Amino acid sequence: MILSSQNSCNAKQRLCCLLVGFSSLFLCGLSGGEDSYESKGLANYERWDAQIVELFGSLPVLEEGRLKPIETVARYKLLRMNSSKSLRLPVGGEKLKISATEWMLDCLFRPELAKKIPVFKVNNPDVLINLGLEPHHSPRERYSYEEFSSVVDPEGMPKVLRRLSELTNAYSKVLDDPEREQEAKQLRRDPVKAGTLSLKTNMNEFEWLVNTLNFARDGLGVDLGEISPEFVKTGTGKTSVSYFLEVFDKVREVARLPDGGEAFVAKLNTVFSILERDTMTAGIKDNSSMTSLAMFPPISRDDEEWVKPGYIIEQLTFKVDELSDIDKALFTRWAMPKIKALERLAGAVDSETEKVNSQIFLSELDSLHKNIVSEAEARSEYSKVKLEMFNNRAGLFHWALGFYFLAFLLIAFTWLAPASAFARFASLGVWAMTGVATIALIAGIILRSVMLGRPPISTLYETIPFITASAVLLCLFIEVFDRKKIALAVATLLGVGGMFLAMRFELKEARDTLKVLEAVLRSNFWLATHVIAINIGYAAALLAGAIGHIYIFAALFGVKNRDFLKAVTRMVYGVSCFGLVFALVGTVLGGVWANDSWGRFWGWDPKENGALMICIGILVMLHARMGGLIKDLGISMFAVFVSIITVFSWWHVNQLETGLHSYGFTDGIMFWLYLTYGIEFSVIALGVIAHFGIFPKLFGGREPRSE
Amino acid sequence: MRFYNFLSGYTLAVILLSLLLALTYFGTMAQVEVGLYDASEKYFQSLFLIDKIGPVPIVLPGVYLVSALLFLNLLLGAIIRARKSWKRPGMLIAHGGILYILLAGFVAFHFTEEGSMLLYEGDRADEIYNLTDWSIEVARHDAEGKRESAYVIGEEDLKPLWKKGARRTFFAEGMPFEFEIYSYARNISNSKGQLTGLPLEKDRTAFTVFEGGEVIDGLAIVPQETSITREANTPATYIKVKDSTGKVHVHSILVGANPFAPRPLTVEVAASGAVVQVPSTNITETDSGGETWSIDLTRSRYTLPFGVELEKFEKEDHPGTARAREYSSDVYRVDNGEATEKYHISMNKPMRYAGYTLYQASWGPPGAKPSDRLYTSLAVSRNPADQWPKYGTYVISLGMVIHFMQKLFAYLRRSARSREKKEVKP
Repeated sequence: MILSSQNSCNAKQRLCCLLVGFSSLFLCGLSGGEDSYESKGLANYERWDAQIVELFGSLPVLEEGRLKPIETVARYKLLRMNSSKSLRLPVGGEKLKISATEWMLDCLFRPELAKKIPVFKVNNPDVLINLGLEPHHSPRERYSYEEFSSVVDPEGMPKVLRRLSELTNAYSKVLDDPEREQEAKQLRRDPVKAGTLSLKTNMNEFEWLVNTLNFARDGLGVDLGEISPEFVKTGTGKTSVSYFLEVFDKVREVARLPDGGEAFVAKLNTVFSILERDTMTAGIKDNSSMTSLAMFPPISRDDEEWVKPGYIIEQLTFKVDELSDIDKALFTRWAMPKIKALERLAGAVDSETEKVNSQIFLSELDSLHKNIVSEAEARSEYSKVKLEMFNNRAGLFHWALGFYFLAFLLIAFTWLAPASAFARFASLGVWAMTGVATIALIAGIILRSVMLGRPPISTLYETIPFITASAVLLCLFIEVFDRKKIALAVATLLGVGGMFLAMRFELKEARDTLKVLEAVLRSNFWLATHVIAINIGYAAALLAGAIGHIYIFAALFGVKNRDFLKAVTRMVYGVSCFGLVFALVGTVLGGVWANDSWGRFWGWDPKENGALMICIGILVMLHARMGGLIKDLGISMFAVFVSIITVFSWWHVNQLETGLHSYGFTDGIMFWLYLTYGIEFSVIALGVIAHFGIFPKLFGGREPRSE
Repeated sequence: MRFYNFLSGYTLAVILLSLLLALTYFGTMAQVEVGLYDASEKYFQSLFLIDKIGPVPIVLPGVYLVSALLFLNLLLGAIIRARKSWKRPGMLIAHGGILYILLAGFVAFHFTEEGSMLLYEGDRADEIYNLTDWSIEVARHDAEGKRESAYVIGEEDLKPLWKKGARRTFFAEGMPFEFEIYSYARNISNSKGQLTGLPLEKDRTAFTVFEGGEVIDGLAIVPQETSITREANTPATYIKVKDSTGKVHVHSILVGANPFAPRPLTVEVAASGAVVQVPSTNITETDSGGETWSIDLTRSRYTLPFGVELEKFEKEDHPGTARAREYSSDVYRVDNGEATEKYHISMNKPMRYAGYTLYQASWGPPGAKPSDRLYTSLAVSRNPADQWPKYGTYVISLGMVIHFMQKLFAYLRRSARSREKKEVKP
């Protein structure tokens, strides 16, 4: 008895250590690993006024085919560069938490300051060494743009940036050459080369962003009045772009004058090249530029494409002859206030010191915001932007993750004293927290569905919360009837796992997860039937596998509680059957959809095959059981095997880069997939060991005849 | 009886399903290396296949054979031999549905005709092209250049020519010449569709002339790696056109072409039997008073019993992107040269007529700019089992729902009883 009590005590201690270790690991994973490097020039960093941040963040812009708040654009830009949606700036010994919107305001209106902010995360130090830059002490520290641009060669050219361009140009040649496919594949897999390419992309995006409002901040760079008496002198040495647009006809007249026209044109040459560059960075139509903000509702109510500032400048200068006089007059009347509004906004920031006059800035921003929002509301487009703002702020998926985690910790603590009053009381807490987490998760899914106006699963990311919610709901349903806390524990663990996966996937992709759909996917009927059915099938297959683990480990350690083992088997079997119904119906419905869309029911596409393999896997299990070929332990081992197939179908087939469903390719997940397979096959191997009762024999126990 | 029991038993079902599982996995992974079509032919459409585990070759049944045996096993075990009782109707119904879908698969595999039709606005066509199969068409043209009669050598007859050093002579009654095909290359293009496998003689560095091949008019065939996307391959072959005595009159290269840009070899056959190559543009001229024939390496084509005229093609992008949100075609059905009925074909909404279904598959040309003229790509299929899987799904769903609901309720009843017992015990 004493020995038993000691063992039990040790087991509890081990469990406690395990829980503490798990919590630390989890919190580490959540933190995103952000350290900040004290950058020069940030000591006097002044934060933006909260009202400015709020108003600016809620400005609607069109990006990737969808109207969204600027806040969303900023969050994903920052996530791509920084691996986090916010920044921690070391200012005066303190760490300031800067939101993505604030950072974007810095980039647009205080670009020199923005260049000093450590924002670039470089995971592989060899990338930096390759560029001739000394890596920081901690790999978690970020790098500022200035750190790259300030290293110059004897001619004063930015050495590191030039080296970066040279390397990436060479890599791009390989990637674009159809004759060097193999070399390109190897290049993409090389962590240093891939890291260099990724850094260059982020650098380009950053450069584009800080130059977006050049035209509003810097004007033309010359004073027209000083070149010709025909124009008004500004006294500041630079003419505003809006003035230039207003007098553009006159500029052309003066340029055509036989007397002095040529000299005038010669002086304007530089102006035009700068204007051309600034027009591009401000974004023209049909230009898939990286950052340009399509922030103005189009002139026509029928047009859906919002307008970028560069487009306005282009229409009134380089393409002005393409407009009729009437169109030009109408367009000018519509467009000029917009350019002027941006100039006034930029004018509220001192060009030398980059100090912001918050009062003026706020007043100008408020006026611009009102104009844009009222137009967006008149077009019935703003309600979803507001909803997205709410979604961004609410962070429902993060709440779900937090509550699932707390629920898991609590239920794990009840295992220390399962029969105690504490355990009974804690169970209620677990139920409550799991309930709250699940409500938050489902609310998040519904919110996304409403924002996009379509069923909740159409992208790989969207399958993660949906499958998590389905699996958790299934567990809770089982727990209502079974009340053994097995399903409840699995629910919390799956909740944590699923939401953690969603978070890491979002970080890995660093792209807006609310996506518009390809033409073929734009069928709410099929999305609501085939896709939902197949994903419920995935959820059930994974859940059956998860519960199967419990049986295998119980058998391995010689647990002889028949009620417990039978209950687990019933769950595995029941959930597998449930999964079969949905996987099979979902798979066939997919075929029916394909038949309606492409004229073929079955095309042996990898994704179709993956779904079919899940169905066949479960069918093998059910028939083997009915034929007496496997028993309880075998069912659980098979359930784990089917969950491996499900992981293959859900994730791996997207990596094959072949077939119609290759939309979900995600870089750098193969290691995790193989690790998952390795672990799960090991669990099956443990099942074999459990079958022969090797483990309890080694420790002096009796053979567990679980079957 | 023992054999019957085995044939209708669970053990065979488990073996066949396991084989199906393994073959589906191998066939899926093989697609990465050899592409969908070659993998399908090897694993999914075959009776037997030879695979290798390391260096050791093993013979496996193909999915076709396994499916046929599974059909038999299901029919015998789950329908004929199964206990028929009102207590368990679900499984009978569900298995019936699966049989129906397997049957639909067999019918579709053997009787489906598939192809594509590419049309610019105003175009009219009654032919569909198979994007993966190639054939050689030999056609006689009338004085106006119109095809009068055609001989077709299909993909199956061309396959033996894929082997190194293979050559074959083709002739037919009514054809005033015979021609020899040799050194057939399955692909001479790179992944961008450029004919890198047909370099000029001056590009000596690029030359590794095909075994048995030669330089003709400064060009030679240099086979390129076959793309795993079979429709991206462009074949080419050497051709010798001979008269009935075997004398070679024309020695040339035939290059595969798409329907919009045919590259036929055009020859003029004089009354004397002499064959002369003429430019394809002169197809209507017959100076010698003989016949004009074209020999075309083209995607296999089939004629529909009706024509289609594209009135309007519309492509709508997501705002501010080049990503298609919706595309659709307004077409007229053409019967006996007359436009009769109008149809609107869009994604997920095909046109169905006379057993044929026309789907909005795609559009082109790839990489077109907003101002470019676009064509519509319609996928056409004729599948007698077109709608069978849909009905099969309804049947399976019904069967499974009945079965598992019965199971669930039984479980819930048991759980409730055991809880009642526990509550009574103390």
